[in-house]
Amino acid sequence: MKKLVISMFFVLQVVFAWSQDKTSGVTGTVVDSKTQRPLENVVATIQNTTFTALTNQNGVFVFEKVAVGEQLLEISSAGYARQLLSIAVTEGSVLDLGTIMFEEDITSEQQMSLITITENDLGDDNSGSESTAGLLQATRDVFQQAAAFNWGQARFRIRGLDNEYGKTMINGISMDKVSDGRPQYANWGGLNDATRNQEFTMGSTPSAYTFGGALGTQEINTRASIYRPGSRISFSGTNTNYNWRTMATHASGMDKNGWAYVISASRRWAKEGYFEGTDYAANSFFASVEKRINDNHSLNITAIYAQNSRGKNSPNSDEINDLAGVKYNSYWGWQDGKKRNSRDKDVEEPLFILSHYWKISEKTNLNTNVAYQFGSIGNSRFDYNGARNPDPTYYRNLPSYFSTFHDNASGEYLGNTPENILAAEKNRTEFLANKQIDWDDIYRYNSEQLDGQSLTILYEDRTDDKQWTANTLLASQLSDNIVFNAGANYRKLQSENYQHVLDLLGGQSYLDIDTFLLQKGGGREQSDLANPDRQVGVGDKFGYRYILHADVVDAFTQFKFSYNKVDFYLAQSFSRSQYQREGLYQNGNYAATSKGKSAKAIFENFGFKGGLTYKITGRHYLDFNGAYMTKAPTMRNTFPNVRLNSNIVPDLKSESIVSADASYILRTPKLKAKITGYFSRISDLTDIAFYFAEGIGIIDETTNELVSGNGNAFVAEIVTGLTKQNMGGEFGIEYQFTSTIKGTASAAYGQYTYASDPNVKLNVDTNRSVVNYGRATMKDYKQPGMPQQAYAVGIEYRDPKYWWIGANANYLADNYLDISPLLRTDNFFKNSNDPDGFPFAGASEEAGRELLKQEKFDPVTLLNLVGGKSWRTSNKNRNTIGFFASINNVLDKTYKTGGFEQARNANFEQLAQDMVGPARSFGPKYFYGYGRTYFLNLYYNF
Amino acid sequence: MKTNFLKSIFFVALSAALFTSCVNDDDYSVPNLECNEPVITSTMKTVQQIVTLATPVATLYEADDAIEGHVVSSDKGGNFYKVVYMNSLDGEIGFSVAINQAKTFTDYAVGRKVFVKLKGLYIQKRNGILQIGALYNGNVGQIATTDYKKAVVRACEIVSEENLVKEITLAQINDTNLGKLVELTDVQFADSELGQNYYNATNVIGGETNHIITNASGATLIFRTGQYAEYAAKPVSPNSGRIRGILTKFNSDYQFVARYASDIRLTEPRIGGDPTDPTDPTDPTDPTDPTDPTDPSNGSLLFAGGDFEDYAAFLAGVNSFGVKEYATQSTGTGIEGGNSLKISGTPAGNDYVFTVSAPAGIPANATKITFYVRGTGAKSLSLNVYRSTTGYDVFNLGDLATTAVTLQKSTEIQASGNGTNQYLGIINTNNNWVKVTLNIADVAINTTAGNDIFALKVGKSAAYEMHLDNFFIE
Repeated sequence: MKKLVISMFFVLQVVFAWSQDKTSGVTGTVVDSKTQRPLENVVATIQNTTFTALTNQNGVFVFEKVAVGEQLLEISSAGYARQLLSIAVTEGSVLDLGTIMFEEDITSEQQMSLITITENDLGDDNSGSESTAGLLQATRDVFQQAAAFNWGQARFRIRGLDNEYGKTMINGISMDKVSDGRPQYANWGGLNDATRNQEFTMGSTPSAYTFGGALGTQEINTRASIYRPGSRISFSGTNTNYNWRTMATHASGMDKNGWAYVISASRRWAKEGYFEGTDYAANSFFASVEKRINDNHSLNITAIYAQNSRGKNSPNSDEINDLAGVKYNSYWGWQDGKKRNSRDKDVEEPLFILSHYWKISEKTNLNTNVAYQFGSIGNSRFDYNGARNPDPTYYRNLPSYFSTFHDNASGEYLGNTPENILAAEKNRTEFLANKQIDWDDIYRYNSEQLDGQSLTILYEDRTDDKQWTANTLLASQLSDNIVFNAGANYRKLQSENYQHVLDLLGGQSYLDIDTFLLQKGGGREQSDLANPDRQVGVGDKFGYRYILHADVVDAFTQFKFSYNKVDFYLAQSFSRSQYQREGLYQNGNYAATSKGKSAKAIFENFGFKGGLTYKITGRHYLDFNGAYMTKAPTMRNTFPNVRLNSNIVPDLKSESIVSADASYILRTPKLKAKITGYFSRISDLTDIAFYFAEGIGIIDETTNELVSGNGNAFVAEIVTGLTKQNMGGEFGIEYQFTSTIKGTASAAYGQYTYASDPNVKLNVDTNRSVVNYGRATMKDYKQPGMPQQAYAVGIEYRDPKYWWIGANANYLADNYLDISPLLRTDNFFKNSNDPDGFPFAGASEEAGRELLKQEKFDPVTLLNLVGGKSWRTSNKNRNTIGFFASINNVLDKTYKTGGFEQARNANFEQLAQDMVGPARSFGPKYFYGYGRTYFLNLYYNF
Repeated sequence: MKTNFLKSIFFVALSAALFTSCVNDDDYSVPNLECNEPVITSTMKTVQQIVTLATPVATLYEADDAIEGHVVSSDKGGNFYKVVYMNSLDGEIGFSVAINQAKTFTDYAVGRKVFVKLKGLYIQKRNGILQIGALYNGNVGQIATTDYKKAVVRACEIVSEENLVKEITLAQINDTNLGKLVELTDVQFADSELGQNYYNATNVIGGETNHIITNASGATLIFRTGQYAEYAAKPVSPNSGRIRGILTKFNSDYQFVARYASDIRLTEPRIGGDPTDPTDPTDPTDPTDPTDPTDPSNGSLLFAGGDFEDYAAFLAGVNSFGVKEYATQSTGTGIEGGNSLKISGTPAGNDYVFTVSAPAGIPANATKITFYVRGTGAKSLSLNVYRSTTGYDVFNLGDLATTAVTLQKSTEIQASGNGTNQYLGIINTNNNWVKVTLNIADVAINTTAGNDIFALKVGKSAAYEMHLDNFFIE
């Protein structure tokens, strides 16, 4: 059953039942408009009902019992232009619609070529250059098209909402990770063809599969029988995060024995992607097999395997980008004539889904799915317990280390003395000559150690998840006007997390202790008191090891009512989440709280939503939606010190989400437009940021101050009581100037701010205290990492000879830097050297405000070109060969897409001192967007 | 259908397998670690020649000369920092090179031969030894991070440490052995050093701790340990034996600096036997015996009247807020039949039941506070232990049933620096006396008589019916 719920916005006429119990049959034949050949597996749907039918090999679809009266029939299939036909069903005679010409939509190639740009690398860096572009493939609304294809490269987010407020599903199985609420797009990466059957809802509008969140839902349907039969191979070249891709797909369609299958495989690779040293290798495989047991039962099994290994690139400060260029990446170095990246991300999480489709009656369908996913995600990095930091951009290696020099006692600026200017210049030449990792040096000193113990190794932080999911979805036409959806879902997750030795880099073994804690004595340096001073080798688990257990149950019900002038819906949901940590190591620093099972964190949440579409006339609509829901914190935000102990954030609350939107929609044959105003407010947010703090930024345990040190401590910054408020407007318009030329324009204007002053606590792994810094003044600062204003104009020409070309110009602005909550606490002004804790001399409110101003990135103008052409290879069949090409950011603009303040300059004096001179030593680090990139896809459909 | 199926498999397999080149398979072979002997074009001089030239004034060396030596010190153990000691190749002379870089042992391991190119560096005779480096405040200081690798060049030769170390006795401590790797034989730490850790924050001169090494004849030598040494938190060994390290000098004091924990090789019994406790440790009635778990009177009283026998003494040590009215002395109900403190009532707020000051004689380095509870409480107790510096640490009792508990200090610290009191928990000892131990090993408890040492707090609006007794510290 395939329903594009979003089509509610495009309803041309309402469903209208004169006589409830009288029905008749409807039938028709769908053929390809070019070849006149019948098309199999085209989906025909009676709007606002659950009736769907698939065309058979002869292109024929049949509905046995359709309510008499005016109905809307929708014909759709991937790669073809969807059609909506208004039909009149009369009692007593079967309506035969005859031959329906189905036209290919060449622009659908663009949708199948969308590459999901980087995933959010959570973990130690509180960066996050993510996009929700994956949420927007294959949509029709002009605004959503702009958001996905034009603005996605600049990290635009619809309504400023994070991925965790959306819901992404495959066959109703949620693909959002319990640990952070976000989908791991790499789990089905490289399977664009196989995952092309998608349904979207925007905002809180109703979905048949889930209650959803404030951002919208994406459901990927892999039922084998709905794929149009045929094969396709394609070969692509690009210069974004990978260089080459090859993909092949075959869909069999349903045969006379009731079997249907789809298989697809692809390979993506690059020796080096857009940024230096970012290698890429991914293999994907997909299979879906369906057996039609009888008219009412069908079973489908889907297997997805997407393995992905890529080298990451570093966020850099302005100083580093000025010295080494915008494509600079500090994570790689030469080894063996190859660029070896120390920060690899490896994802390998196969997924199996067993689906049962039960047509209980003509009006009711029940779909039950059971899924199992396992595998691992690993993020590699160095562990250098015994040696110097191998990072070439370590702050002491850069000119700013000397140019920001101040006298420790008097605070006098010394950065411009001749000695320091000379030293800064020396650092500059040294850095430029040695700006990558020196792998040879690491191997050398590791192999020189007489005891055979490596000082520096390469390891990965591993998450091995095993997750069972079971759900059941009911869809029933209760009456002609009422559709009922309900669903229940259960997820059970066991997530084992540990450090895993990858490479000893020239030594024989590695001592598993935290050398920074050796001087404290008492066994605090031990990772596991049951196994002190353990020597580990390649493949061993070490450092920390714990299992997170999660049980999540949720259920929803939904009623949709359709009448003459008005459609409305109501939905409600309930969920219960339970998290528990089981520590497997008894950490020496947290001997009492690290091993064994933690208390259970249990959250019960509910949600209500409703909405209304009012048809002013057949061309003008008003649409309103509102929702209120509570949402459990993710596991990531529940256990602040999850690696080493079982503490739970005290007074942990569920988030409360309120969202509302109102739209006006216009549809005429030539002109389509939509304007929307929206509002959402999320309160009681808990957000934990994890990062490594070096140099200034380590807390002295006895005095609880941030002091300098040369350790490399892992810090958790716990922010509670945060409120986010997002409001703004969206506008999209599409005008068909002639039958071949179409113009579009879109605009998004948003104000995404923090609406509260949260509380900040800091926990440093090497110390045992959680320090409460109190209130952080964050109210009215902007939410970071996405342009809050975006504008696009585009023009597209489609030639009857099956080629097309388009161009769009975009302006994106109001993207802000991620601020550090720690810097906005009262601690900022306090002079720790003052016995009474008085503020610094010279620390006026004005001066403070100047230093703490949130950085706004420069706006950017992006010009994109797209186009394509296809040819029939023979007159006898539908085989097509074609290409699709796009050039993004034609003008090669360099622009920042995100970045974060470093929390090291924790007080007024240190921050003021860091600002003096030509470059900051602890300035913010930034991510950049791609410059001019191209994508070329050659395909052959047969 | 069948041919379609086969065709499709073929296409999929072909496409996926076709393009296998140019992929980074993340398989790297170990780099070539052959050593290339550096070519030194400077004129080679002997260390003796440079020593002769050096004066107490830091002087710029302008000629393009170089010396060679073996590295003897190491910062791997954390006790050396930004300085490398070297010996001339014949082992006769020790000298030092100051370098502004941490973990120089990764560049210059012990036993490695190095060349020191003197042009542009400063030399100085200071603290009895030849020092080489850059100029800083009129003396030899650290060579800049960007410069040192060009000035101190690694050669390919490495000799074993055993070939470098020189065995000497305390009698042979003199200037000729400065800067050398020596091993002292038949030495041990003086009696006064026992019971401390190698680094003792309360016993610090110039940022580090000095301990005294002696031998049978009573000769002494200072043994110096910094706070980042890997053995800093270990207790000073009472044994005798050998200690290896670098002999240095500060003004007129010789100082011995070990490099790693393994340099301290004290494995023999103590010379002269164990130091005797003036209070005769063989007395079986010794009240400081820590091994008896049932003995309720371990250690000394935490505060005057801590066993509530002498209630007046207790009241005298309580602060001006006094004792809450629901806490009274109760006779005959103590743990050994004596007196106890009875708490009976429902506090209106999160009250301080009492706050007491320290008596005289609180042991330094106390590790535990113990006391006994019998009875019930709808909420639990929270204890404040006051620090010698400022503020207090908090111990929250939580649930208490019939088994003894040991509490760690609360990890939630307020911005004021004090711990956070919590009263969650139920007390019901089933009319048994249950022992509560507070682990104060990591609390710098106040030991000054007259200053606050301890406070007992209860939770509001909860009924308490309990006896407390025997507050001890050990």
